[in-house]
Amino acid sequence: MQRWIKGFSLMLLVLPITAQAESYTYAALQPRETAQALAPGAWQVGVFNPLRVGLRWFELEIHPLAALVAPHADIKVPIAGDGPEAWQWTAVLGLAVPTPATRMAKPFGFSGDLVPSCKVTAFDPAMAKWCQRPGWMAVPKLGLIGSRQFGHDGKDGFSALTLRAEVAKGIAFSGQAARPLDAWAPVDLQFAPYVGATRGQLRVSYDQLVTTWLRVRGELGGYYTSRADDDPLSIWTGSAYLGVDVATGAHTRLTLGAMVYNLDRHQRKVTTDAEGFAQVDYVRSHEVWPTVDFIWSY
Amino acid sequence: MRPIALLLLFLTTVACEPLADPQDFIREDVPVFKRTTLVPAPDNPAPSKIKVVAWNIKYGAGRIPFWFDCWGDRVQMSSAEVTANMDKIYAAINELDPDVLIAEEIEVNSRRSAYYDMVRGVLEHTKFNYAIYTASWDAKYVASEGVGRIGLGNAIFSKYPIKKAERIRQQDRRDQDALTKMFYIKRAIGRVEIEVRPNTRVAVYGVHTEAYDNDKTKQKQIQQIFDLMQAEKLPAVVGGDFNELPPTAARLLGFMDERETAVCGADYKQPPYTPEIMQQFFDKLVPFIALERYGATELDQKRYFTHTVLGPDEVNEKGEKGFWNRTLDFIFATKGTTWVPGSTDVCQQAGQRIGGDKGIGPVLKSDLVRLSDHAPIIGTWEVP
Repeated sequence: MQRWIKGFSLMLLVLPITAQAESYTYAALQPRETAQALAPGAWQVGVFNPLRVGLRWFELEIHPLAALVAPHADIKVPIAGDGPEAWQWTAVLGLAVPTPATRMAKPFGFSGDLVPSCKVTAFDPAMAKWCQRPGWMAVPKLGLIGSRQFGHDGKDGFSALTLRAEVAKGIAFSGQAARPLDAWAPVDLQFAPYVGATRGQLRVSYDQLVTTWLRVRGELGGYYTSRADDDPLSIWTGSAYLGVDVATGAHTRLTLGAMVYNLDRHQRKVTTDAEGFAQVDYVRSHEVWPTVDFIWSY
Repeated sequence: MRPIALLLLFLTTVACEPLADPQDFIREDVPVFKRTTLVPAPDNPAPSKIKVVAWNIKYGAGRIPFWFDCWGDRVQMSSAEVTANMDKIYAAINELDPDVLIAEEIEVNSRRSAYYDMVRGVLEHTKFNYAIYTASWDAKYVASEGVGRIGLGNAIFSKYPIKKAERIRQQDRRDQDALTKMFYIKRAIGRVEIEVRPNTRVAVYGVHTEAYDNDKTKQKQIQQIFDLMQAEKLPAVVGGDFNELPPTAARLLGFMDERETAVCGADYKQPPYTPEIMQQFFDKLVPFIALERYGATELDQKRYFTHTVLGPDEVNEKGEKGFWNRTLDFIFATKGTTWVPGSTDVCQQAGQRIGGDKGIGPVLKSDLVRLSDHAPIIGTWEVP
């Protein structure tokens, strides 16, 4: 494991250097998460947002810290579209191997918290039949992003409409098939393929340029998570996001917002009928998550 | 720890469902559930005879080895597993045919039991007409071994109308950090008033006290139960899993279902028992099985053991097969009421006659040692 971490860290350092140097300099704050791949040599990273590096013909995206325990990488490859008035299309290809994270306890992994630690099996391998920890797994991802620019300000400022479709699936090579975590929405959606489920998503966002230093961003999303036939929870989740990006310097921005999820967590609602007896209904849940990040772009 | 607690508090306020029910009450009414189609209850003229069963059903897990018992690693059951186990529990309840059932560790909406509503299940698959459910563990997500949503508690079922239903809060453990405490079990006592015949009510209490505390929480909970019974004005019965041995227990430690090798940590390790706390129940109330009947030796008492972590298909580190090895479950009635002779027993296994060789029966058919880690206990209570 240590050899892997060293090698991976070295790769992260080398990537920006090998990319063609080209400064990330714009008069207006640029939109995020569009089909536009970063120019060769440019890079962007946030406290929570992934590291994005522009290379010769694609963009590489990883979460550096998460990648140490769950090796993964996404690449964005521009495939069609030219000019500010045309739709621009980019393919997303990704691969993750989350198994080390499911084997390690916090703070490096989530064994014993989100997934079983299987201590008895570790002590007595003959008891492995009772262990419900996800096995070794690869998670390929395939997606398509389309963006269209609007409202150019005559320089480099513009608004952007973005459509995103993506499918990720956990393919297990060992261990028992785990079930979706049924955890908090962002955790569940992120980790669904990591426990063997298929996750599909369709999102549409609009990123409005307000001034050169302020953007307002809204997004609607729909998610599908595969479940076993006897699982009573719905496979559908909806989301809505509203937030702002505020430039704090030529190369930095602060992002603030809130994400609302509508999902089925088998929330129980007890009411009383006309006779005064209890009635049970199950209702969909709502979760509100504040979002904040600080992003550097060079 | 404080930033995490503040974050969780913030999320609790912005989310529509609390992360975990804090159970901020001292004593409050709870709703009564009714069977979809009522079954005529038997007439019960004075002196009323009420067959009472108390049973910790271990959330329909049967003998699947769950992680906290440290004999296996299971954290979740499939819907098919829960349904199959619950069908056997329904059959056992119907075989015992109680008028009142006090059920502990019954789940209504837990990920580990496939979100099965066991209160509704018991109501619809047995002859009970009414039920109450008192939650003791209600959390949207418990991030421990992937437990997830948990909805566990106690229930009281009755063939006769429940005229009043309430829950009475018990003291929480104080030996846990704030985060663990927030998501941990919060015990409560269920109390119902049942109209067994016109103008005659009896009170039934359902209890399940703490198992793993190291700060004497269980003893305080047991004392609260005793005090409530002493203060009760109606003829009353209390039953459940006290997680405590009878005062004359021959063995106090070194039970055969305890793992000798340290494998799973100390969070779910049984602290030393304090059986002397139970003496007052035998002195001031009417036990369903008197201390004289338990006997003095472990061999005598074995007949009345109610709990084993290990089932008969599992073995301990010495290769011994599991079987009931201690008594933790009791039923007590208030003075002035009695137990019908030959009606009280611990329902340990198939082939056993309820009440012993001279008991009133019936002979059990259900394979009870494979249905839960606790045996049902039974008695017919006579109320003047």
